[in-house]
Amino acid sequence: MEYIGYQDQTHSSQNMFRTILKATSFPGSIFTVPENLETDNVLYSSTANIIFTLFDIDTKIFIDSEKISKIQNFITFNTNANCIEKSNHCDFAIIQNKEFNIENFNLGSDEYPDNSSTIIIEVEDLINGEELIIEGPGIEKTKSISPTNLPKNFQSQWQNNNFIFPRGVDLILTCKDDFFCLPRTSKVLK
Amino acid sequence: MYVAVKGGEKAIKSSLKLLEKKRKETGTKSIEINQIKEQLSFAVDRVINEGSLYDKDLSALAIKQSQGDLVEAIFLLRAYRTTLERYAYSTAIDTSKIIIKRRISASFKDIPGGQILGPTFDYSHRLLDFSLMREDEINSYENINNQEPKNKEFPSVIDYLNNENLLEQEINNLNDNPFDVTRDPMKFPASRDQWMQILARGDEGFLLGLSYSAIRGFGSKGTHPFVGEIKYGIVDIFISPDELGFEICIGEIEISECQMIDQFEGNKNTPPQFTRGYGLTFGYNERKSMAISIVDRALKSEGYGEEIKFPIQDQEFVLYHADNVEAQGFVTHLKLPHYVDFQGELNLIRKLRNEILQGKKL
Amino acid sequence: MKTGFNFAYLDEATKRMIRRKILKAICIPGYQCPFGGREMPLAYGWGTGGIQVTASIIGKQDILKVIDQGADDTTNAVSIKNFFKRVCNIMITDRTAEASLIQTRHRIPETTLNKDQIIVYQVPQPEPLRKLEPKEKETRKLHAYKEYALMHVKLYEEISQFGSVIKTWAYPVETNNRYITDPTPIPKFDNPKMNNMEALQLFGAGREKRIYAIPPYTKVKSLDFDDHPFEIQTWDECCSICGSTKSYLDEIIINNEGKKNFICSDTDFCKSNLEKNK
Repeated sequence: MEYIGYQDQTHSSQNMFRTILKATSFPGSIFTVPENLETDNVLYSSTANIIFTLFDIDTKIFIDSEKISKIQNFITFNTNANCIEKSNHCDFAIIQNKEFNIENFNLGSDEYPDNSSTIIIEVEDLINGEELIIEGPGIEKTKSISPTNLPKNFQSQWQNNNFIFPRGVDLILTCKDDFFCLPRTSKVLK
Repeated sequence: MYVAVKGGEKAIKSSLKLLEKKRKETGTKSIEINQIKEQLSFAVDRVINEGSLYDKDLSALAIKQSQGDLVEAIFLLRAYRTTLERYAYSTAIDTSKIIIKRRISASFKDIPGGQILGPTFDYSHRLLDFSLMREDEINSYENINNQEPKNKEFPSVIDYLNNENLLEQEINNLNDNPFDVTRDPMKFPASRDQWMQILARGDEGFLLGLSYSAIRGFGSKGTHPFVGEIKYGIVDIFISPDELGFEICIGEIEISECQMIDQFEGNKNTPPQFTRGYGLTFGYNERKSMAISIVDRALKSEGYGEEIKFPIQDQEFVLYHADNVEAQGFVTHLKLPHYVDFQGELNLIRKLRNEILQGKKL
Repeated sequence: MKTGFNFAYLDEATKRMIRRKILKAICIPGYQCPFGGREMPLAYGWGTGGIQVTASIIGKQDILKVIDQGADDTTNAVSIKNFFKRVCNIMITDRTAEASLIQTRHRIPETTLNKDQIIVYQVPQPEPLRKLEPKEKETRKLHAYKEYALMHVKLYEEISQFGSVIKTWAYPVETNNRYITDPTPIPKFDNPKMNNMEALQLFGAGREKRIYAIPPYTKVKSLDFDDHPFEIQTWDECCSICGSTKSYLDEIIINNEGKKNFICSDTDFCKSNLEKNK
């Protein structure tokens, strides 16, 4: 396997981090990654950018995908991160399957809610799905999001995630070179 | 019109020049790093401990650069340490396999392997040696006919008490993932690996004072701890890389170790027993290893179900305040301008006084 | 420029660790996120938390402003700027409006910040409850269960003793209706600026090894009571340089008789205001 990551690790990952930082600060707003990364159709370029920016030997990764072994190889080879089988212990999850349950991930504790999973969900499309209106920190009034491929009961799962605040998971939805963030503070309005 | 003097840029430049001038003013010969390393070895050893970096050359350099301000030297070494990558964790050192330089027990008159006094200030009379004022050559010294200890292994003396169950067992469940205080923020209740690391890096003066407070009366039960054994010598350091599957020696370090025996009156479940306090430092730092062993024992109080009455038993009190890089930074930050906050206080106190003087309130 | 150190001093693994923590901190506004703070070449208590946060986010394209007590030219601000010039070789500005990244100690600039800016606060003590409860084990529980009676009682006692809350700086706030947060030792004059600020607010406490954040457009409320609403400081005087009546003023003693003058604490604001009025 060949390393396909950044030529300039320091500055490219800094640049990508700032994009993630902005996306986390402004939930629901779609951002385009600064560099296109070719992964042989294993992962989206946006997902790969997140991996190269945030994963390393100190992170535990859970993968839910048909292509699990390819993704696992990709991550271990390029970042040294530990791929694990227990979703409720992971720092990051990468999900390509439509059905998932937030409750199976690490939700953190009341004392240490930051010790919780960030779930990266690869969807087919970020703008042509069912419309959801969200509000919360980082959103001036409300924001409309329309990703496809979320579980049918996503709304109720997410409401529960809001309910257990400060515990909970945070989501990053990716598609090709684009992505947006849905931190636990974003509430879906009916 | 008067405008507040700020001009920080210029002031900083001059200040740094003045500091350099202080070192060079009278044109004495520059001290060599080797001279510091060998002739000020106790200072060098203190700095590698509290600086958390076993590198005597860099320690000597830091002492030179800080002009002998050891807390400053420790700070320099710590800041440098930040830029170093961590390649591996060593396996636990085995202090019974030691090239021994000093080994004493105060609890037993004679011990297998013998008592070895080694180099110590203990029995030097503290009289200034004026001959050092004019010492030209130091390469001649009286060659002592030092008998190399025959033993290559020095098992812990106090473990002899184990045969009778008189002494608490040292917990032997070595954690595969020990806490790393240089990478993770402290957590409470603290685990022993966590507090032992903080103590090893902790300020010697702070730990000495704390341990003194405990044996003077501000400690549990106020009995007198006994030095089971003190060792000073050289041990090997091993790492065990996953890809190799076996241990390889990557070097050796000097260490000082202290095993302190203390009492425990027992409780419903446990009959009375001796308990242990343990101290370990880099280099020759016997006084600090003793202090650590007393603090270690006190920090175990919570685990023994003893009443937490004194500062030395309080984990947060001890562990949050032992680090002199943190302490010196925060204490000296009071030098920084605080006039914005002070202005707030000025406004408030004027307002409160006015209200009272005008009888508006109260 | 060759410095012998990595860009922004920290190694990439440390930056990644801090970056992950910053993201979690934004997801839980006002929550104090523990992080593996490292020793920096500047002393603890002198901005090491802010410096680590800045070092983890700064890039070549950034324009950095550093202030201490509102001023760009105070010694510690200059020293921190020199550090970043040395290890990043980036652009520095005094102009609040030009900066993409602002590191501050004890003030929020008077000029309104926008959504493309980030403000990094240096934090001496991140725990607003520490003076009321010295143990971390306990304060962490109090935050976990939103058990803030201690703080309300304290403020109430001040009111009954002095007629008002006597906290004039580091006046506690509630972030996003959840966590009581220490706004750092900014004067309470600056508290209202934190509410619904367009810029991302990041807080770094180096010695205490905590990072917290307030995302843009987040409700930040200074604690108060219905019958004793929160109030900011006011002055009868105006700035003796630019004439501003709206900015936070520093008091300057100008002679041995104790005669005083007042000038803006925010030096950039003062300069801009003077230019505007010319």
